[in-house]
This record gives sequence, structure tokens and C-alpha cells, in this order.
Amino acid sequence: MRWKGLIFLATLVAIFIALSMFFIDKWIESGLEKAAQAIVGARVEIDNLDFSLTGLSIKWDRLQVTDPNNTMRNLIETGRTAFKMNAPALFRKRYIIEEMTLADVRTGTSRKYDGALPKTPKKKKTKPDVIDKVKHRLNKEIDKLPVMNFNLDAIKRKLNLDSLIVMADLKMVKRLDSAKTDIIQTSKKWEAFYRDFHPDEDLKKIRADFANIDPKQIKTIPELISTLEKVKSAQKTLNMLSETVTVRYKEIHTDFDQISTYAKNVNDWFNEDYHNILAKAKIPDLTVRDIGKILFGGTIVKQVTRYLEYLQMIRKHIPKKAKESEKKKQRMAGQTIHFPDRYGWPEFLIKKIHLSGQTGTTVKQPGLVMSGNVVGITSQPWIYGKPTVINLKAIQENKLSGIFAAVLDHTTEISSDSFNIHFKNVSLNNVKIHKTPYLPSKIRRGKADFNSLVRFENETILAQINIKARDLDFDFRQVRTDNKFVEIVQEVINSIKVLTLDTKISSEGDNLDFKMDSNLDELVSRKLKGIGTKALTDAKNKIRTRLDEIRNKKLAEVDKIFNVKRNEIVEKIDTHKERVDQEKAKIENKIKEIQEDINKRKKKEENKLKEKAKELLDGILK
Amino acid sequence: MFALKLLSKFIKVLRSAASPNQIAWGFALGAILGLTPLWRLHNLVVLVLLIVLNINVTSAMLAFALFSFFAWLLDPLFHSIGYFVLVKLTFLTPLWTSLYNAPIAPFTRFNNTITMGSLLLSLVLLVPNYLLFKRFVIRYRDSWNKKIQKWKITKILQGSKLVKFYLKIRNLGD
Repeated sequence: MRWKGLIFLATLVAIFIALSMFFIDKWIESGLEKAAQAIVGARVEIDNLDFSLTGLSIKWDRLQVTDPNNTMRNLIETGRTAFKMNAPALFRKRYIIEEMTLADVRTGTSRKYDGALPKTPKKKKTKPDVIDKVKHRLNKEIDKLPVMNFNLDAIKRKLNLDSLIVMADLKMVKRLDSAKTDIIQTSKKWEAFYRDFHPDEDLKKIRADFANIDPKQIKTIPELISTLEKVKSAQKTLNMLSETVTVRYKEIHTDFDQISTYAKNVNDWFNEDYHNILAKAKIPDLTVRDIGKILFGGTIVKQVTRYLEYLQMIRKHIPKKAKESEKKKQRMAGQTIHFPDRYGWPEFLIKKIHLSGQTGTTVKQPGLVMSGNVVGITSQPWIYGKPTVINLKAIQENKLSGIFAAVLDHTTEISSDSFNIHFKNVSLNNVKIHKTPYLPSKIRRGKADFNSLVRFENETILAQINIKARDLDFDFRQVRTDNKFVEIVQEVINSIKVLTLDTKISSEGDNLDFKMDSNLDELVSRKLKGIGTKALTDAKNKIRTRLDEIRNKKLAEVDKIFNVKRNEIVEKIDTHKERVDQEKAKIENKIKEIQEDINKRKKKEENKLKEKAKELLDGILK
Repeated sequence: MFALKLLSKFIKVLRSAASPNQIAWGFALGAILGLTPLWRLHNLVVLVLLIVLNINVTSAMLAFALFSFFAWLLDPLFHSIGYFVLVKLTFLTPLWTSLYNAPIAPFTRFNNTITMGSLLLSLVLLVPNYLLFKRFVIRYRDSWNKKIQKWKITKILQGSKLVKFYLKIRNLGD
């Protein structure tokens, strides 16, 4: 036995006990601060911690937990706190607190100095979990929202008539020109035909053959018959001419009928060009959707993302039950094997916390006064066997104005968290909102009712957030107003009594559905349409008028040529046909006359012969 | 510098009049400190033994340094042994469950695979370490010491101004 060593050891133990008596408070305070900092990721400060060995009780005067997103403000600040540890559990390395009282809890209080922790080397990136994916997708939704910029002057410039007409390359004009060319070419064709076609001369000749024939002048029947043959021959010639004239008549009429269709089609061409111009003008679609999302989506997503981060932190430190299998371990760390706990004690448990505090940062502006309790905060919910339950009530001016209730059930392998939040008449004075080009960065004044129902079931998230804001007042002087959209938003917000925002976020697997409906959608859309419609209607009327002018001018030009040529060519053939038909009728009459004469004479001769024969017979018989 | 200082102290111990038993037990206990994670309750017991018993602390420190290096290399083996003992040997589960629910025992972190595996291995090696090191000390004193003294490198080092300077200054401030 080394007596010196024994004495040394006893001295060490005595010194340790003495130091503990003086410094144990500081050690525990430091230990708790470090543990809390590891969870929150920002500075945590405990003031005047007092540990009592006899009762295993801990008290402190103040706790400040820095907001990691704004390190000059506290996420939570509490006043006096007291609790006792469960001694038997403590000896078994279980930290069990039966009951804890957190008084005077406040959020967002300012700090004297920066609560950021010194930067540590970057930790190895872990695989993104379902909450990381939802946050990423929500932010992507906001990034891809369209930029609403309605500059009316720019729209009017876009609708400059002359440039539009030039750009448009009017088909109507081209087609009318094409019709004009057709008319000219067709006319030329028929004019060329007429140069070699002289039916009048042929008719003259034919007429000469029969017109002066008088059957009464012809003495004998054979002469009559010969004349008849001559006339019939002339008729044949005339029929051939008539056939030619008839065919040409049909062709000319067909050609000119075809050409004349331009007059029927010109309205269709007009409409086609009109719509092409409208399309080329790229007049913006003034049907606007998702106004609420465009204006307030960023703000809602920012808040949702923030609360998702808190939930991520909660899920990390209140984990769900995992299958106990050989896990891939870190070098030199090993794997901790858990055995059944006979007392139902998890490693860490706060059975009940009585909370009271306010949302405001000062005594003068307390905000909502809240009180309630939190039950079952534990690092191993499956051992404790009960979910973590939060029940808080908010009182304002002695009336119940809000409820915050949550159940975090991580007792099985499927974690299930639900939040029910209802607040009335929450002040929106000086509340900052997500910066957009359309709204200032702060709400000057306003009140709102919030209702929210959020459920996280394993990897599925469903959140419904309904906000009804009243008496909203923004300082719009901060926002540029050359954007008509902003003017309209201002007008609408100033005119409405209640602004409603209904947000629904649902995520399952790789699908995210983010919808935001607002009463602003229809109101702003209607106003925009009204203004845009007027500008659009004006532009459309001008385009139509100009196109009309162009059409009428071109059409008159084409009509003139068409009518002139038509008169020349069609009338000519009509005249020829008429004359030919007249001659045909005449020649038929002549033939008929001659034929009748021939028949008459034949009959006369026959009668003469009969009489002569009779006479002869009578003579013979006498 | 600290390593050289430790080595020189150890060589001094080897040549001193300290008993081989004391040196060997120091080494064996130091091996436990080296092989197992340092901040464990069982190491407090080892430290108390080192302080209270007549055991050579220098050899313990040397063994601690040496076996800490081996511990890093043998880490996967410790985990496998620990996992086998804590999980696969199901007949021991009631024992572990009792320990898990007993006071103070959880503070030993016996239910960590590295702690269990390294402690078991170091306990198994305790007696062999003691016996082997004892033999080494005796052999060194009997024959190796004289041979090493005759080595050229030893003579060079002993004659070196740097070594002489070091020997002069190492005790300064003591």
C-alpha cells in the first residue's frame, strides 16, 4: 500500500468535495448551458442557478435562449424557474423531472450582446429529411412566382399600330393583290382569244347565205330544195359557231365567277390578319391568379419554414422509436444498446411544465398573456409510452383569445405530430413581412385571426392556415408605383375591410401541393382586367379601323379592275351569244318557211297531177 | 518532447531498483487505461489503484500511450466484441437488464459496445500483459541493458552535445 498515494487521494477527494460545494452550481449551470446550446445552436444563458444536494432541486433566476435566426434577440426568456430531480432515477443515469414551473416566459426579447456561438468547422452534411425537402420545395414555389409588372404605357407602346401592321405582314393585302393579278391574267387570256375570234363576221357571212332568200321568188321545187340545202348548210355552220360561243361563254363566266370569290373571302382574310396582329402584339394575359400567393406567399413560407425548423429540432431530440439493429457507428463512439427499463424511465423526461408568460417583449406591451402546460417532454417517448402534449391558452384584455394545442406522438416507429392553433385579434402592428416589389416590408397596423391545423404523419405533411386580417394599413410610400399592379393592390387593400388568406400545404413523397386562396385574387384580377380591357379594347378598335381602311382601299382597287374587265369580256361574250342565238332563231324560221313552201308546192303539184290524172282517166273512160 | 521525456523516464525505471512486479502491474493497468475510452467510471478505479497501490506510474503512462494507439486500430474489433456480448449472448440479457436498472451501473456506460468490448479485451489481456512485461523487465536488466550500452548509436547519443544539453535542461524548473 502506498500510504502517500492514499493520503494524496484522500486530499484530492476532500478538495473535490470542497470545490463542489462552492462550484457545483457553476458546473451544473455550465453543463446545462452547453447541453442546451448543442440543441438550439445558439447561446443559452442561465442566471444564478442554485442546486440543492439535499432535495436535488434546481432553481434559476433567468434563462435566455438566443434565437439562432436573429442572435440579438432571445427565442425564449424565462423568469424564475424551479424543479426537482427524481433521485432514484438520477442514480440510474435517468434525468427525470416530475414538475417544473417556468414563469414569466417571453419571446423575442432583446439581448445585450450577440448570442451567436463561435463558428465551428462545417459538420458533415446529413441526408436531407422530409422536412428539408418540404422547405426546399416551398422556397422553390416562391422563387418561381411571376413578377407582376403592368406598365400601362409599355403596354400602349407595344400596341403601336404602325409597327404592328408592318410586323403583321397582312395576308389580306397579298391575297387581294393576287386576285388582282388573276383578274388581269384572265382578262389577258380572253382578250387574246377575242383577237382571233370574230363571230360577227361569221354571222354576217351566214346571214348573207340565207337572209335574202324569199321562197316565193323561187320558181321550182328543186330550186327550193337546193336552197333549203344551202340554208341547212348555213345552219350547220351557225350551230358550230353557236357551240363555240356557248363553250366560251361558259368558260368566261366560270373564270370570272372564280375570280370574283375574293369579294366573299375578303372578310375571312380580314379576320385572320386581325387575330394575327393581336397575337403578335403579345398583349399580356390579364387574367391574374394567385394574387394572395404573390403578395403574401413569401411571408407565409418564411414563417412555415421557421416552424418546420423548430419541428425538425423537436423531432431530432424527441425521436421516434427506431429498430434496434446493428447501426453503422462512428469511429471510437460505438453503439449504445438499450435494455428494458423496469421503471419506465427514459434517459430524459420532464413530466410536466407549468408555463406562464407573454408574447410581448415589455411590460408596457405584453402582447398575448399565455399560460398552460406541457406534458411528457422526453428523449425516449417509446419508453415513457405517452406522447408529448402542449396546451396553452392566450388571454387578451381578460378574454380568451387563443389556443395552442399540440400532440407529438413519437412512441412508435411512425411519428405523428399535430398542431391546432387558434388566435383572435392578434396585433399586426409593425410586423415585418417578406420583401416583395408590391408591398412594403412592414405592416403599419392591423389585426388578424389565425386558425391553423397542421399534421405530420411520418413523411406526410398537411397544413391548413387560415388568416383573416382586418384594418390593414401599409405604408405604401416605400413602394414604387410605376407598376400598375402595385397601384391596384394598394387600391384594393385600402378598400377592403377584411383580407382573407387560406393556405393549404400538403406533401407526400416527392409531391408538394401549395395553394393559397385570397379574396384579393378576384378583386385585383377584376380591377386589372378592367384597366387592361379598356386599353386592350382601344387598341383592338384602332387595329380594326386601320385594317378596315386598308381593306376598303385595296378592295376598291380590285373591284374597279374586276368590273372593267368583266364588262369588257363577259359582256362581249354575252352579246355574241345573243346574236348567235338570234341568228339561229332566224335561220330556223327560214328553214321552216322554205320547208313549208316546199310542202305547199309539193301538195299543189300533187293535186295538179291528181286532177290531170283524173281528167285523163275520165277521158279514157268516156 | 513529452514522448521523449516519457521514454527516458521509462528507461530510467527499467534500470532502477523498482521491482519488476510493480513495473509489470503498472504496465498492465496502464493498458486498460489505453485500450478503453478514457472517461469511464472503471478507469477511475484503475487510477485509484495506480495511486494507492505500490505500482509504477511511469510504466502505466507508457502503456497508456502505447495502447491508446492500438485502441484506435482495434476499434472495429471492440465494437464487434461488445455487440456480440451485449446483444448476441441472449443468456446475459437479464444480467445487462439488471445492471441497466441498477444505481450507478449506467454511469459506467457498460451498454456501449466500445466500452464493453475494450474493457473485456483489456481484462483478458491483464494477466498476459503483466507476465510478459515482467519477463521483459527481467530480461532487459539481465542482458539487454549491457548490450544496448555497447551500441554505437547509444555511445553517439550519450556523447552528443544535444543530448547533454537536454540532460542539463530537463531538470531545470523541477
